[in-house]
Amino acid sequence: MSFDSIYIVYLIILLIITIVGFTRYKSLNKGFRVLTILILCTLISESIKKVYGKVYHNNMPVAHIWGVAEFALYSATFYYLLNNSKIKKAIVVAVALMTALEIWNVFFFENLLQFPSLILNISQIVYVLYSLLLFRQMLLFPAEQSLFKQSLFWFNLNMLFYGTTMFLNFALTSYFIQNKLDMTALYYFSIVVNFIFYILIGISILIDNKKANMMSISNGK
Amino acid sequence: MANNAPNSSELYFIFFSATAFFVFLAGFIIYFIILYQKKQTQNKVEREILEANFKQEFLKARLEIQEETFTYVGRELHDNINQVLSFVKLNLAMIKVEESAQQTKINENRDLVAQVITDLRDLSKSLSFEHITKLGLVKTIENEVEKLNKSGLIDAELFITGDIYPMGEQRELVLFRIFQEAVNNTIKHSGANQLKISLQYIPEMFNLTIEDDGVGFSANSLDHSRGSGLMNIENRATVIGAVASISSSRGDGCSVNVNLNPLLQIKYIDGKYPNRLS
Repeated sequence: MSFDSIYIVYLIILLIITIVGFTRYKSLNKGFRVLTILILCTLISESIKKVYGKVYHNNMPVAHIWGVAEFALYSATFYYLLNNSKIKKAIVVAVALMTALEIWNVFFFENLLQFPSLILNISQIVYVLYSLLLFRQMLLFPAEQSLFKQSLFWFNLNMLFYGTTMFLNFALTSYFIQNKLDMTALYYFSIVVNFIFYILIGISILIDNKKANMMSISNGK
Repeated sequence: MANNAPNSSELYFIFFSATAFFVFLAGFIIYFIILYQKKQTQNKVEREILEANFKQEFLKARLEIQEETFTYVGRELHDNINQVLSFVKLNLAMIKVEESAQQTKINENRDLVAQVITDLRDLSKSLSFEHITKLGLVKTIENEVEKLNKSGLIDAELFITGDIYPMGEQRELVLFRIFQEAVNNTIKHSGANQLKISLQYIPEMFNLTIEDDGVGFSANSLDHSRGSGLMNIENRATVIGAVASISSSRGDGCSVNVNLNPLLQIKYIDGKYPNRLS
């Protein structure tokens, strides 16, 4: 299967999740509404990246902008899912810091034509942190519903898996580049991880229910 | 490409590090799931305890209100209505007429008023908390059985087995109210001729059984008043930690059975809580 076909499958998955999200938009809670918007934005940004890459042979400027926007949207999702007011404030500060870091990065470290690895790596670490905080909250205020039927669990598990695995992927990529090894396996690994990530996000949007979540969220307040 | 290729030990290290990473991730997730389910169970148990406590509290409050009402009505009957009737009886005794037919009528009315005074006094006693606790459960039930037999409404028999022991004011009061409710149900709905009441005193278990030979009923044919009466029996039993079971079928009479472990400590009956319901 060529990379172009894989890319089309990837975009189709994003499109399906977007449609599912907007069909169920009213029954989703705030965090998952933001997540639906994030998936739509991902679809748009990935499409622009492809076109931009074809036209200018380098889509890194889009990756730089999207890196910060994606972080802000994931942070907003966690902002609504987490109940602790101090953590909420910390999330707002994190978004502001990440924006400042990206500006500094573009001017002094990785310019607009280079891969924004710094921002992406830090984002993965922060996602893992958010995810652990949400796991903690879930343990403190467990809901009555079975864990496996909770959108929150699937989403959070997914974020932890994606954050840690992609961090590992970046580390391995760096090692492979340094040692001039064949990167094909890593590309496929990255594709598989991305597919699993978006499919699980789709599942969590599909099973999310505002009424069911209300209980666990009100427990937490 | 092979210029600065990593040696095999380096590749093994990377392979094992990546494997260890995924094992750790999977371990974390499994640990979280186990911990979460444990918390869920713990929460469920706590919630159930809270709900049970709330139900107990609610039932207790209801019984307290009922008991207060009974006491008030009993006192009113004794202090007010009975006094007025005594006065009426006295007045009737003072009326002397020459015509013997009229005098007979007056005497009959005087007897009727005397009967009403006695009935009201008995009713007042059966409603009074103090009276029941003073006499104790067995004596109060014996009096009630005697009254039932005198009334001719039903032929009642009382059987007592085992050595009688006190069970505390509230328990005995609630058991007596259960007895009253069951007897009322029998008289109102069953059309029974015979009523058997049994009190069994076993050291670890007390049992009260009220059996009639009436028309009986099936659970889904209960009307509102009878259904709520039976529900009252179960609720009252719950408050003192007893278990009430009601069994009946059409044409087979009805049996109300209350089992109580007198050694069981109930939060609202024993310990630091006041030793009476009202």
